[in-house]
Amino acid sequence: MTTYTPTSAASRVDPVFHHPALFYTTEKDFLQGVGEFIRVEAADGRPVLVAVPGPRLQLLREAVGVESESVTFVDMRQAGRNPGRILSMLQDFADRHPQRRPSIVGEPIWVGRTEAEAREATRHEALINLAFAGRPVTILCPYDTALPERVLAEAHRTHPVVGDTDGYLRSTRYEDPQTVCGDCDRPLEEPTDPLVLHFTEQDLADVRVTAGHWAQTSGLSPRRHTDWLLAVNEATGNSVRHGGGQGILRLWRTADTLIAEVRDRGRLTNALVGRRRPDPLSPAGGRGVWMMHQLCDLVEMRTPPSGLIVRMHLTLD
Amino acid sequence: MPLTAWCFYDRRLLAPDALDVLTGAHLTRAGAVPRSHVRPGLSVVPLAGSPGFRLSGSAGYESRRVAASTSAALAASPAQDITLDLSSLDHLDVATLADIAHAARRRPSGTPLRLVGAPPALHRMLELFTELGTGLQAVGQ
Repeated sequence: MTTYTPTSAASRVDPVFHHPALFYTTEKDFLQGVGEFIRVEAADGRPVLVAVPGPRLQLLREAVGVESESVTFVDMRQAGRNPGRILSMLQDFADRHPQRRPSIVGEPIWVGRTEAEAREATRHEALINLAFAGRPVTILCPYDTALPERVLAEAHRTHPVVGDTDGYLRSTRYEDPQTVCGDCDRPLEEPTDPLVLHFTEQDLADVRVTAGHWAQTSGLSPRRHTDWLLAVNEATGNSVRHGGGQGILRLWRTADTLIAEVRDRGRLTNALVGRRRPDPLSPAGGRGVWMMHQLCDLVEMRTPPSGLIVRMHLTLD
Repeated sequence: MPLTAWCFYDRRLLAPDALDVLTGAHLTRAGAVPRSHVRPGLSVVPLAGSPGFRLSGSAGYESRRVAASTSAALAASPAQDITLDLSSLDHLDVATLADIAHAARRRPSGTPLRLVGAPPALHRMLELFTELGTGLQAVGQ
């Protein structure tokens, strides 16, 4: 087993920021590859964030045997339920340790992710390269080889360095992050018979009332109702503020999910919008998209020629 | 204070939004029902028994001027203790909460702004933005 270290030859694609993918097949491979990385980084005095799916967290804790306060364990199934909020968590962690070259383990895609979630997680992996370019950080991303082949192929396009039990090499298939994001912008599937609400500024309060009642009658739990209303409010408010003064809200339900989609004439000029925690007291605002990512289980954004589409998913309990 | 004050506003000279703000700043009114009373918007009235305001309805981007006016009044109030009753509020957005938080930080007395009956949205937003809770004291109904 070859342990990834920031000083290994294959890592020198970006002299400062390192973003390798580790492909593993067995639990033993995972524990060796990830566990040894954590031990080495912690022993060097670096703060380490470990964000992997819950079932693997305890295994790692026991295998690594790290009692250091410098290692933080997070259940990625919770913190990264919506792939669109992972990058904010990683940047927060790196921001808290600017002088100590933080190290991160992030496993955003696990067996069982839906195709739409995996696509947004791939977008997240590409955006990592934009957000951390030139920053002294290492982010190791484990990939289970049981994942669909298309997901594994995307990992080669989003990681400058890839490795397995035999070692790490520069990825020959690495792509510009903007290209990968463009490829993730697949057309969204049309719903059947959604509730459609056209709105302008004077309709915003009515829209919240209607969306709230609709969610209640559609089975959304009281616990998630607040999240739903806050997210719908931010999306519709953004349409009025930035999307031409009006928009269209569509609501529908699938077997286990409520979906709210807002369409307007806005544009998304920065792929990293909403991927970093904003200052809530900023007079310039900038809280809406970040909040949507925090409140929803999945957020898909598309920019067709007609404007902007924001589709928000909340899973029914 | 034993006082009755009548305030008169010429509907022909005021924009509907401005009239909504003025209507919300009075405990009672006479005349035709203003727009805010037939739509689920945000209304604000002074509390009868102590310094402060009661917010009713739903706060969002469309009610930002009402929220800004209320926050300005809160920030400028010389009262030591001041209360914001949110128990009749159906929804609160983050921009309005930020306005309230700004006002709490600017209060001349330096005492926390007392929030009564905060809706679930306020607690959820404070989970996301803990710093907005500085200067606020949330209490029960």
